[in-house]
Order: sequence, then structure tokens, then C-alpha cells
Amino acid sequence: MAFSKIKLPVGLLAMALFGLLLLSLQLMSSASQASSELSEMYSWLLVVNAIGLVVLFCLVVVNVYSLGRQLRKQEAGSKLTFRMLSLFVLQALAPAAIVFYFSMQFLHQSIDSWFNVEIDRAMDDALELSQVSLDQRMRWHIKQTQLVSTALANKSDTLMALEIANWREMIEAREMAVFTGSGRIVASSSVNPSDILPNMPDEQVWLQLKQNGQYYAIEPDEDGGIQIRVVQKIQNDEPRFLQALFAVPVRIADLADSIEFAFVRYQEMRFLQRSLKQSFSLLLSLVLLLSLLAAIWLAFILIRHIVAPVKELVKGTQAVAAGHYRQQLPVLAQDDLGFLVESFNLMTKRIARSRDEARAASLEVESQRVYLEIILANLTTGVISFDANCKIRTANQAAYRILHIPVSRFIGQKLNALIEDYPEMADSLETLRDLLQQGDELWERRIAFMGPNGRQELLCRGTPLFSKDGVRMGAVMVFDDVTDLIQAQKNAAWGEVARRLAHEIKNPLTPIQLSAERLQHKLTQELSEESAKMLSRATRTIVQQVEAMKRMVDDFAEYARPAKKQVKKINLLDLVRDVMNLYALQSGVRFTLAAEGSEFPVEVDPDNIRQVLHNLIKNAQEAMAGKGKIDISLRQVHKNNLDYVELAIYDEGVGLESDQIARIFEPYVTNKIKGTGLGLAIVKKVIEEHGGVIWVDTAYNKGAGFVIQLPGA
Amino acid sequence: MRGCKNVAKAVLICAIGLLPLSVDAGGYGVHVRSVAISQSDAADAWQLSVHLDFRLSQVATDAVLHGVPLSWEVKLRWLKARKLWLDEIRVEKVVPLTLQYQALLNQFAVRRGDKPEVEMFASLNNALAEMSRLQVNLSTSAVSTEDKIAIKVVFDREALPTPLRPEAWLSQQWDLSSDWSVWPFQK
Repeated sequence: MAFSKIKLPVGLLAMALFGLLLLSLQLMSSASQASSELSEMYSWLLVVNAIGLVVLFCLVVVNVYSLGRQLRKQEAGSKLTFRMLSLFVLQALAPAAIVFYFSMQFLHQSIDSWFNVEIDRAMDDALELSQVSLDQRMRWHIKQTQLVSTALANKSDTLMALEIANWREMIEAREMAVFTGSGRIVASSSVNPSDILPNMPDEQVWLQLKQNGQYYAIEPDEDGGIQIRVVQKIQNDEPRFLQALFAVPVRIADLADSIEFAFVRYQEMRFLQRSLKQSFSLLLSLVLLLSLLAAIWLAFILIRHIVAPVKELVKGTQAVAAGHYRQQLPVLAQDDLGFLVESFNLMTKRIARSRDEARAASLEVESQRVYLEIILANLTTGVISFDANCKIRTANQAAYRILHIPVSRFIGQKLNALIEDYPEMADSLETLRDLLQQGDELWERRIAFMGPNGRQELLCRGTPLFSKDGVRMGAVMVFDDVTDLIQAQKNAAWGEVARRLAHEIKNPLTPIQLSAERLQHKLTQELSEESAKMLSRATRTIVQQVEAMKRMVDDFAEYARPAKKQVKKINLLDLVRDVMNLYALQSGVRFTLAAEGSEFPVEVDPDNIRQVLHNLIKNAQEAMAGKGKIDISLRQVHKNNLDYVELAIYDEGVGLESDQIARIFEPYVTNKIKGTGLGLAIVKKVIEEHGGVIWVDTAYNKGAGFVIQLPGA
Repeated sequence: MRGCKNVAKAVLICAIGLLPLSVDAGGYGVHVRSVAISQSDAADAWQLSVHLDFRLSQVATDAVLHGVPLSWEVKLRWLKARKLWLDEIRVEKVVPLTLQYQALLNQFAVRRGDKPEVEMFASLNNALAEMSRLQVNLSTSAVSTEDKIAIKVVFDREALPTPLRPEAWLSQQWDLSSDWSVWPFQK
């Protein structure tokens, strides 16, 4: 993993590569000179440069391929890189191509100008002159040798040995020797006394001697100079050969050598004319291609270096667009782009800070909103807000608890949707809708509707909402379930009435009763029998009515009396069984008891609950005229995180009218001829004093059904 | 698959293009015609008489006639045969040969490593004929009838003038070397 962190200095690397390339090209240029010591390395240098060319070409191809991929992927900065690179290549290629073309033209014309007919002829003439000069010299030496061979003809070997030195000096030969046909040396003489053995002819010379009888040639000598070898046959009894070696004067030899060197060099150059053109063209092409490819590669590096901050900026802006406001870019250089990057970093910092502040404010607002929502949610008062189009915007939990409608599901919908889904509340909701739409003033209205627990009364208050500009934004409606409050007010009123009745009516009743009985007692004997009977009837009626009024007042007193509960924990099932058994023995009504379990613990005043059971069962018996069946059921229910014991009593009597149901628990509401109308009012009062609820089960249609829920112990 | 077809097509075209050059290559080159081995006076001294065949291409002939010297190296190896491994080199010798035209004398000079002097020839054929006959003395002991003599003649392209070298490496006209030829040891 550490290798990835190693970053080579690209500029240094590129400079080193360029240095190597220049060195290699310089070496190859030097090696192309035939006289250079590097000429032996020419082929290797050519190969090295060719490899360098291939490497550079591969690098450029890889970079072009990479750029192509970036362009296809539409990566940041790729188009800018492509444009800059295209511009650079065009600017570099055009002058390079022009220079290359004219250089090649100039080179070829220059090489062609080296050779022409005049120089060819001059060189040929110079060589021929040298050859003629040497040839004349050779012919002169041939004549001299012939003279000596003639002089030595028919002489003995001894004489030849004696005379040969003189003859050599006479004709100024370097060496002179006489040998037989088999190569045996007869006599010899040399200008150099240390040369004991003469320079003997080789096989070719012998071959020519055998064929022609003489040999002459200009040949290189042992010192690198030129010598003339002449071999003549000597007329004798036995075949003898005279060989004379003549040194060509140094000056002539040097001149001839110089001419020969120039001629050979010229001939070689003429032969190499095409190769020279090709070689120089190759060298020039190599230089051009290497320079061009290296420049393109360097352009890739430099442009990438230049575009890098732009690429980072593009990535940075993309990151900012994606919401990463903390994006910071590295400042690669202290130039214009570096200044741009610094400005970008400053901008993102400020944006991030603003974002943080906005987020903090938003969080604060959110926390406030949540706090308000919590307050609203925990309010016992229902709150529903509407927008200008009467669409529900918010609703708290109390709204659901009071209305028994999941109002929050209808957020964003109009009240009409609520009306369509809950037609039983249509009248009340339509009233509310009209109130909400009617105007810009506060309003208050009491609305009644039938809830699952019976008739409910709501006290609704509406407040229109306005913006700062005074535009109506909607409205908020606050409502409370005042059913219990109204009931309590009613109860209190009835309690007051009962107390007053007890105080104002019951007190005079006893004197009235006593007075009526005294009147009967005093006057019965004094009146006629018929009058006495009538008095007796009237008195009895007065007493009966006074008794009835006393009972009524006692019932009122009972209803109005404050609760004095003796609460204890009991099993409601046992209490129900006791009361049920009592009535089962006394009447012909059948009882059924269905209990889901055996323990139904409640903390109640047993006497009060017993009275409740008496009232309900007595009502049922009277409703069924003493015949029929009363079903009693007991079960545990869990509601609002509390355990309740639910007691239900169903009869098969005449049942209740729908208009009676709403007011059945109010005092003096009864459908019995002799009833006071206080029985169910007392039942409801007792149940509510124990924290329970009672309602009429409207779903039951075979008679009347009452459901009581008491908190479990 | 399409890429493979293109490559095969390119190779085929190249092969067809090089066909005429390969055919022409038979007219020139250097070959080892025969090798004769004889024992010298000394016990471990042997003389190899090698008969070579030098045939110059038109380009090489023109080069010689224009004064360009041509150089070869005759490499000789006396090999001891081994069954499970490469042959062992008992002795090895390299004989340089140079052919050059002397314009002033209008003769062809042959310099060879086994002779001190320069041999001059009036014609190119004579010079080549002289170069073809090579006498080389080798010294080795414990020779076996399974020994072999390997000979190779290598044309020295690097001895050519520098402008000519790239062409010499690329053109078959300058392929004036022989392959290794192996000859059995026969006294």
C-alpha cells in the first residue's frame, strides 16, 4: 500500500528522459560519421533510439487511449485536456512537418550536389595520372632489369653472385636476386645489409613466370609503401630468373596514395549516395519523431498538471451540488488556478457554515414544532388546523379521542372527505365546514353528535389565521367534549332541585298528612255515613299522594345526596350472582350469566353497585312484564392501557326508542307509567362516581341493552 | 475473431511479399564445401583444409568495386560429442578475412588472419577463389572418432560504412554469412 504513496517527480523524470534522448541522438549523429570512434556503436545506438521511439509511441498511445476513455465517460476535465492537446499537437506538428520536409529536400539536394560529371572525370583522371606515372616508372625499371638480365646471360652462378651487387647499385634497385626455376637462390643483393634472404615471389608470380617468362607488378611493400617487382628470365643453360625490387619514391608514393584514398573515398561515397540519403533521412525522421512524441507526452503531463485543479474544481462543484458543502480542494499551485481553488474552498466553508447555521435554526424550529406537537398531542382539547382551502393540515390526538375519527389520516384532504367517510357525523361536520368557510371572525358553537358512547356535545371555537400581509391562510378549530360538563351541570341542577324539594316540599307534607288524618278522625263520626265515606276516600287519597310525594322526594334526596362510598375490592362476578339469584327466585324471568373467566376484581362500594344491578334488573323485569330472559355477561377489556371489567345486561323487553336513548340517563326520563325517571339517572351517577361508564348498546335490537365498564382492581 | 482474421491476413501478405527475396537469396552467400583434416608432424597438431564458396550479391560486388571493404570471420570449433548434453568445445579459432579493391593498382587485396602479408589479385574471382581455400592449424589432444568440426562464416556488417549498416541489416543482399555446418572427424 505504501507504493501508491510514492510519487515520482514527473518534471524531473521528463527532463531526464529528454536528456537521455538528446544524448542518444547526439551519439547517433556522431556515430554516423565514418571517422568517429562511435561508428562501431552506430547500429546499437540506432536500435536504442528505435526502442526509445517505440516506448514513447506506446506512452502516447496509452495516454491517448486513457483520454479517449475519459472522454467516453465524460469525466471532468477530459474535454479541456483534449482541446488543449489538439491545439498543442497542431501547433507542434505543422511547423515540424514543414521543417522536416524542407530539411529532407535540402539534405537530398546537398548530397546530390557532392557528385557530378566533372568531379567524376577529375577523380578518374587523377587516378589515371597516378597509374600512368607508376606505369612509366615500372616500364623504365623493366628496361633496366632487361638490360641487367641480358648482361648476366650465360654467366655462371659465381659470376652472377659477384656482379649482382654492382648491377643493383647501378639501376638503383632496393633488392636484386637470381634464383633457379625451383626457387633456389643463386645470388642476391639488398640495399639493407641485414636482409639476408630476398623477398621471394609467391605462387602467382611463379605461375605467371612459367607462362610468360617475365613478371612485373606494382605492389604494396612490407612498410606500407609501394614497390615495383620485376622478374625476368636470364638466358642461360639452366633457367635462371632475375628479380629486382624498386622502391617508389616516398613523395610519389604519398601522392599516389593520397589520390587513391580520395578516389576510393569518392567512389565509396558515390556508391553510398542512396544509403547516405536513407541514413540521414532515417536520422532526421528519428529526431523528428522522438522530439514530436516526447513533446506530445510532455504535453500530456503538463496539460494534466494544468487541468488537475480544474478537474478538482469540477469534482468539487459536483460534490457541492450533491450537498457535500464541506468539500475542500488541495491548492496545488499558487497561481491563478490556485487562487480559484482557494476561493472555492472559502466559498464552500461559508456555505457549510451557513448550512450549519440554517440546520441549527431548522433544528430549533423543529424542536419547537415537536414541542408544540407534544403540547397539542397531550392537550385534552381537540385541535384541527385548516388551510385556506379548508384542507386539514394538522390534527392532534385529542381530536381523535373526542371525535373517534382518525383525523390525521385525512391530512391534506378537505372536510368533505371526512363527511363522505363518516355519514353519521355528516350534519355536525357540515355545520363546522360552513362555519370555517363563512368568514374572518371568531366563532363558537356547541355541536352534538352521536358517538359510540352515546350523545356527545362539543364546544367548538374557530379562529381564522392570517399572514403578516393580512391574507387568510386558513383556520384553527379548538373543541372540547363538554358532555360530562353539561351532564355535571344538569346533575348539579337536579341535585339542587332535590335538595329544595326535600327542604321546601317534604317538610309541609307531614303536617298535611297529619292534618288530613285528624280531619278524618274528628269528622267521621260527625258526618253522615255517605259524607264520612267520601271524607275517608278523600283523606286516603291525600295520604296516598303525600306518601307518593314523600317517596319522590326521598328518591330526589337519594339522587342528590353526595357519594359516601365504602370502597373495597370485590369480585364483581360474585355480586352479580348474588343479585341474579335473588331475582331468579322471586320471578319467572330466566337469567343467563356468561363470564369469560372467574375473577373480575373491582374496587367499588358493593352497596352502590348492588343498587345499580337492582335498578337495571328491575327495569328489565318491568320491560318484559315479568316474563322473558335476561342475559348478563362479564368480561375483561383492555382500553387505553387500562384494564376494565365490562358488564352487559340485555333483556327481551320492548326496548328503547332512538330519541329516548339520548336522554335515557337524565332524571325524569322514563317510558314507565309509574316510574319516577330517576333509576337510570342514579345508575349513571353511581357508575361515573366509580370512574366507569355506562351506555346503551344500540347495536342490540331484541330489547334494551346496557353496557357498564368499571376500572379493574 | 475479426481481429485474428486481420492479423492472419497481414501475416499472409507479408509472407507473399517476402517470397521473391527468399528465392533470390539462393544466388549468393557463403557455403562450406568441404573440410579435410590431416595430422601435422606434432602429435597434437592438426591441419584443417577448409574449402569455402564465396558468392557475392550484386550489391556486395558493387560495393567492393567502389572500394568498400568486406570483412568476414571464419569460426571453427572442434567439438567433443556428448550424449546427454551439448557438445564440448575442445578448441575454437576465428580467422578474419577482408576483401578490398585497390583502385591505384586495380587489384583486389585479400587480408587473412592465417597469413601475415596482403595478397593481391588482378580479378575479383581470383581473390574470392583465394579466400575460399583456408588452411587452419589446430592443436588438441585425445581426439575421438566421434568428434566433429563446426564451421561458420559470419559476414561483419558492422565493418561496413555506417550509412550502409541499416540497409545491410535489413536487406537479404547483404546476407553473406553461412550457417553452422558440422563435419565428422575423418583423418
